Amino acid sequence: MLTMKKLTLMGAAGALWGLSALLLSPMAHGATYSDTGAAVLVWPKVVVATQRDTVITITNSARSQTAAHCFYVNANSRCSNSLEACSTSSDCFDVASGITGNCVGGWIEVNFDVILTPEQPVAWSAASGLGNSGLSCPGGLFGGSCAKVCSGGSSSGFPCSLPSDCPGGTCQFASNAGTRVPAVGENPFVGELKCIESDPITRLPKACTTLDCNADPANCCRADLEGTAIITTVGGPSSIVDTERYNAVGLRPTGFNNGDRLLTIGGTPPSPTTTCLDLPPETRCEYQPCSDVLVFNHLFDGAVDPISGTFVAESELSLVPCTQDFLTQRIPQVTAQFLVYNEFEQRLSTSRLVSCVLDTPISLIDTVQPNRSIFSAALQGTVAGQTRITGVGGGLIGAATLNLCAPGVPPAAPVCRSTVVAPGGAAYNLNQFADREAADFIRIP
Amino acid sequence: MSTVKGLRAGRIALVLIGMTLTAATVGAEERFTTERPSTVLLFPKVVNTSDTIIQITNTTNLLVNVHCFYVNGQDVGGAPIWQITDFDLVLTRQQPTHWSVRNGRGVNPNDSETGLDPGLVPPVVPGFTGFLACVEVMPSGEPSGANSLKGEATIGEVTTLGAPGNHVSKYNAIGIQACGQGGCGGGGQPVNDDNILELNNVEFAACPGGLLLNFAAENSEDVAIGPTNPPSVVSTNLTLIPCGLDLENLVPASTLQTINLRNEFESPGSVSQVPVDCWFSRDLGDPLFGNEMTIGGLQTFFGSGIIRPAAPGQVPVLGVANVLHMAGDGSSDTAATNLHFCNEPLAPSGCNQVNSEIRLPSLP
Repeated sequence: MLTMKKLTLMGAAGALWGLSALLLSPMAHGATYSDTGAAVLVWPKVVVATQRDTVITITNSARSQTAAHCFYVNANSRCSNSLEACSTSSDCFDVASGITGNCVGGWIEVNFDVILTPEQPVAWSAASGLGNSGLSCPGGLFGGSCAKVCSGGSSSGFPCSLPSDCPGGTCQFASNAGTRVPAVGENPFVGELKCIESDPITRLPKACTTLDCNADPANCCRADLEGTAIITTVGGPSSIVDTERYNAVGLRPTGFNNGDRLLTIGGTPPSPTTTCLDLPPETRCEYQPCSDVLVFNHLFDGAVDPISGTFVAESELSLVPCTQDFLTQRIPQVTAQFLVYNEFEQRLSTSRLVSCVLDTPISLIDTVQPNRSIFSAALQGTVAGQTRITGVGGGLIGAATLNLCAPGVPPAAPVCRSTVVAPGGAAYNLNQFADREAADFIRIP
Repeated sequence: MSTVKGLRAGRIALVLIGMTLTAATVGAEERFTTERPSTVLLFPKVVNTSDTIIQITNTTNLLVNVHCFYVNGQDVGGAPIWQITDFDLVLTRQQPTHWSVRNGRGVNPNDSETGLDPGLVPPVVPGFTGFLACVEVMPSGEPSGANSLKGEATIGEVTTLGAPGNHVSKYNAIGIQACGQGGCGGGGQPVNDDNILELNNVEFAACPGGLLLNFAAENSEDVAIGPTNPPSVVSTNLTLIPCGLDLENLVPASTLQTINLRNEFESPGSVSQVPVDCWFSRDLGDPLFGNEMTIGGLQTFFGSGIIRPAAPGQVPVLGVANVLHMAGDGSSDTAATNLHFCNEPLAPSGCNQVNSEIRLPSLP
């Protein structure tokens, strides 16, 4: 029988549970990074089209040579009848046969390597790629303009000036030899880019057991890569230049990597008092987890732009799953749940399947009628909004774009959707909140 | 009797809360960030030469009070005027809000600004060039440590459709996270109620040891625009503010920085003694940088640099880069980018975290 005292204590404990959960939530942390070096970089939005290109920059912040094993993911949907890229089935009408094909989602992976000399920045155009003639340090006869590094021995990959600086190895000119960045190969192209810091020889993640590179440089897990994307559009109805820039989103190491082809991102700890590093080596986390919630601040679509007072805002959201299987090339699918808050603190929600890559104006996430969308200013009644995005069945990584467009006459969409260039556009990174408990995986061929 | 029971229950409650908080935050990595909710938000570049739109959001389910400070770093007679204008915001749970710094935002439910007005936001003076700092506080005014805020700034000038001078760029606010019990790598403590925010990995995250700047050489050709509309030009404007503020005594913070550079050949370069006095905003082609970051000096299209204090005792800086891309016919656009934080103490980074402070005005 419960006494009053027990009841009081149970009530207090119950209240505590709730209060603790409330207090704890702001302290939880997502663990992907767009503002510091990382071991895996993800560019969630890479686009190439007529008059549009994406310039990728990647920098090695380490004093030693490193490699990035990279994957372009071509997320173009294709017509079932012509295999041409499409966005809707209406793009698949064949005049000759009079048949309209289906627009079927798919993805194609293209992998390549970028060899980075110590502290080297490298950039390339997604439309053109980067061949041997574009390399700063191509090696061979043309390598003399670059600094020297040790090859082999205990100081392999580190800068040197004399042979004696490289015990057991040789001191030779640093080289980007082995770097071949293909062009994305299709116009239009919509997709993503992932780069994994790898051993320059094996092109696999380096096996490591510690984060302390000072104490154990040979066995430490490194996070040396930084990246940005610059999406540039030139031309349009008037001669306009529009540039949008965001930082690549990075995954940092946990302090363990078994060096195999399965990259384990986060994971459920075996008990509440342990971490995913206490799991057996075959399932132990190698990279910090993806975030549980992405926090996306935006202006609602159709809201009058506060800068000009005449143009309207249109935001685009790009999401990609954390989990990807480049070996079997199965299309990764994650359901994104959206909680949308306006400036009245009112909340609406929707969900959308992210199949490989989701790259869409936000007011087309939940409907094909933008003015009826929960991301429409006409429906929400305020200019600014906050959207919290939770991945179900996997983590998500994303970036956003703000476009300012000439207003359309309802129900017509804003003019920026029907023209190549918006009057102004800007990209930015999403915020994040809390860690995912379940693991995500990247499997490389 | 019931009072005694209540006291016991309360005591148990406090112990449990303490245990839970400690367990949950051990190993947490509170830090300077551009992608996580924080207690202090810094918008390094806020201008009224073109307009700037500020967005701030409360990411929690609790009502949040915010105290903000515009700091005018406008240069008058060779010195920043360091004029401060402060105001308060109240954000309900999960509430996003926005305002134009040129116009501010009134408290009027009938005006054109729909949504719950967060408080009276004053407009800045014409020609304002400076930064905005916002601190999450308790209703009574003492600092809070709940890490609830996130923010963005959109800098732009949009005139007519197709105008070559339409420029829009957007960056995330720099957040300073409170450590909380056991946070900041284990040594964190809850925020105390004095007016000094200690950036020391105990109360708040310590300042990053440096900033990493990845840039296109000043006046170089734009890789994307060049083939279509030559000759194109890229120009980067770098905005920096010291990591530390004295908003009580209104003393402008000053520091000296060094920039160590690498081009695509790994060739080193450096710029020494860069003075950051309150608010710094220069193009990379400015004589102050000694031609090191121009296409002529760097000799490759892309470069990277680490911005660090020039000497021990100098505080690091925080900043944002805004890049102008101009085509041959004069049409152009800007794109802002948050700089990467450098916290790697090992060479070549050599970025050791530095303690500093933000001193708020004392409460009456």
